[in-house]
This record gives sequence, C-alpha cells and structure tokens, in this order.
Amino acid sequence: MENIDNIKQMWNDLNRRLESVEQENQRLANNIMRSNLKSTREKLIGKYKKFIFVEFIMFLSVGILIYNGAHVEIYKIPALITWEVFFLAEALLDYYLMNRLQNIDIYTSPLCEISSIAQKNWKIHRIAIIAGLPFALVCVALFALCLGSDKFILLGILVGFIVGSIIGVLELRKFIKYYKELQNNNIN
Amino acid sequence: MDSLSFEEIVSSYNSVITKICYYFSESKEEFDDLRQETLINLWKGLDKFRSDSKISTWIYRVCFNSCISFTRKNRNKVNLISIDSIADIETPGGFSTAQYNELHRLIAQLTTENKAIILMWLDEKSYDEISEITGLNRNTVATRLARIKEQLVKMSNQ
Repeated sequence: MENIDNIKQMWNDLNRRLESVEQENQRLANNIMRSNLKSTREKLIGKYKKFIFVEFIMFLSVGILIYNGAHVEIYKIPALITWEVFFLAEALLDYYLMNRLQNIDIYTSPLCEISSIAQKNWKIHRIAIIAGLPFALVCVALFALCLGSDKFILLGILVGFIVGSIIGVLELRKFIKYYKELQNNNIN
Repeated sequence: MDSLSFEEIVSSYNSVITKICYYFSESKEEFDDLRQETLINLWKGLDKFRSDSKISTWIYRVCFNSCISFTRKNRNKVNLISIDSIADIETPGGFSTAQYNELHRLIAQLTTENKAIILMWLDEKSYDEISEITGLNRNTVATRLARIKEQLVKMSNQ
C-alpha cells in the first residue's frame, strides 16, 4: 500500500464491493421492524385476552352476587341486566378487536395496512371507552342501590370503584403506547 | 427532523453502516453479529433522537458506539478478515482482495478511537463533523488524523 491517496481510492472502491451486503442490511432492518411490530401486537392481544377473562369472571360473579345478595328488590333486575349487558358487550368488543389484531400478518402485510388496522382498532376502542364510561357509572350506582344496605358495603363499592379506575387508567396508557407503535410502524 | 423512518435511514446510510461494521469485525460471524447489533441500536435509538444534531452525525455515533462496545465485549486479538467472506463480488478494474485485506489489517491495528477517526475521514467527513461525532476538539482531530495517516503509511511500508 503506497500512500494515503491509494487508501482513499480503495475506500471508495469498497462501496461497490459491499453493495451486495447492503441489500442484506435492508432485509435485516425489515426483520427488526417487523419483529418489534409482532411483539407489540402480541402484547396488545395479551391485554385483550386478560380483559376478556376478567369481564367473563365479572359477568358470572357480579351476576350471582346481585341475584343472591340484593336487598332492594326494585333495583335488583335493572342492576342485573345493566351489569350483564355491560360486561357481555365489553367482552364481545374486546374479542372483536383482538381478532382483528390476530388476523394481521405482520411479516407479509404492507406497513401502511398494519397502521390502518391499528388506527381503526384504536378508534373503536376509544369510542367504546367514551360510550362505556357513563354506562359503567350507571351500573355502579345500581349496584350500590341494590346492595348497599350497609355503610361498609358502600365503602367497599367506593374503594373498588377507585381501585378499578386507577387500574383502568394505567392499562389505558399501555394500550395507547402499543397502538401508537403499531400505527407509526416504528417507535418514532 | 422530518419523520424519517427506520427503513429510510438504513437505505440512506447503508454503506456507512456496512463499512464501519466491516472495519470493526474480524470474521464473517462477527460482522453479521455486529451489523445486527448496530441495526437494533439504530432502531431502538431512533425514538430518542432529538434532532439536536444532524441525522448523519447521530448515525455515525450509534454505529461507532455499537462497534466499540461490541469490540470491548468480544475481542482479544487482532485478526485478519477476508473481504471475500463478506463481499463476494469482484469489481472489474477494482482493487484485489489482497489489497483490501491489507487495508483491513492496517486499520485493525489502530486504536478504536483512531479507527473511527480515519474511517470518517475516508468517508469525507470534515474535521468539524468528526469533532462533533467523536466529541474531540477540532484541533485534536486534525493532529490525530495527521498522525494516523503517517502511521498507516509507515505500517504499509513495513
């Protein structure tokens, strides 16, 4: 090797030699992106599965509790119906959203399609929260009315409502994060 | 910064990523591992990039940091890596494999910091850009570069 100019020339020529390797970089980069999208999608699906399980348990347990434990008969049937409808509707919706995510083929679908499905899913999820919140408040109120003959039961319902709300907000933040990752196809 | 996607970055800076990983590797396996790690670090770091420097500066920094960390974790001796194991295509009228191997051998003998400096200089980065990427003072870069060039020529004549 004679001098620095020679080294520089060789450096420039190296670009041509490495072009075939650079195609491999693109493939690797694509794999990294899609693996991360797959991981995000799986986290979202996992979340929906957990919620469906909880909603199913609540559907059964709260139904039994209201049916057997209601002290104020006049509120018993309305409370039972609203709770069961609420949890059934939420479980069905979560199942629908989870299914849409499961049907995405992360490795072959175009990234814009993945983003579009994620966007639509997140829109439906948001609408469900906005529509579901007032309904949930009505459910809790009826629950308290039909069961709340005792101040400790009322306190328990209140504490449960607060704890449930906190957990709900924390989970919502995770949903926002994961949906944002899927929509942007990148953690940008 | 315009929202550059990871794909766009890899596409635009492909040759930079490849060359830096090539000159910091000692075997085909190491090159593959290093390249993978560098791409993952670029992917992970992209959301933290705040446009307080040029995207090219950031990419060089991530590539060099990935290579230097990898080297520190995995390396003991300096070995030769044949370019044939990485790039199979001979370029007509280009340099021979032996010459590329010799260049790799020479650069491999430099310290990691000097290696980074000379690779950036070879990529036609200005002294200011090299200074920004390495964090070294501009005058230090100039002095070091002069010494590195002398060292390379001296080593090549031995």
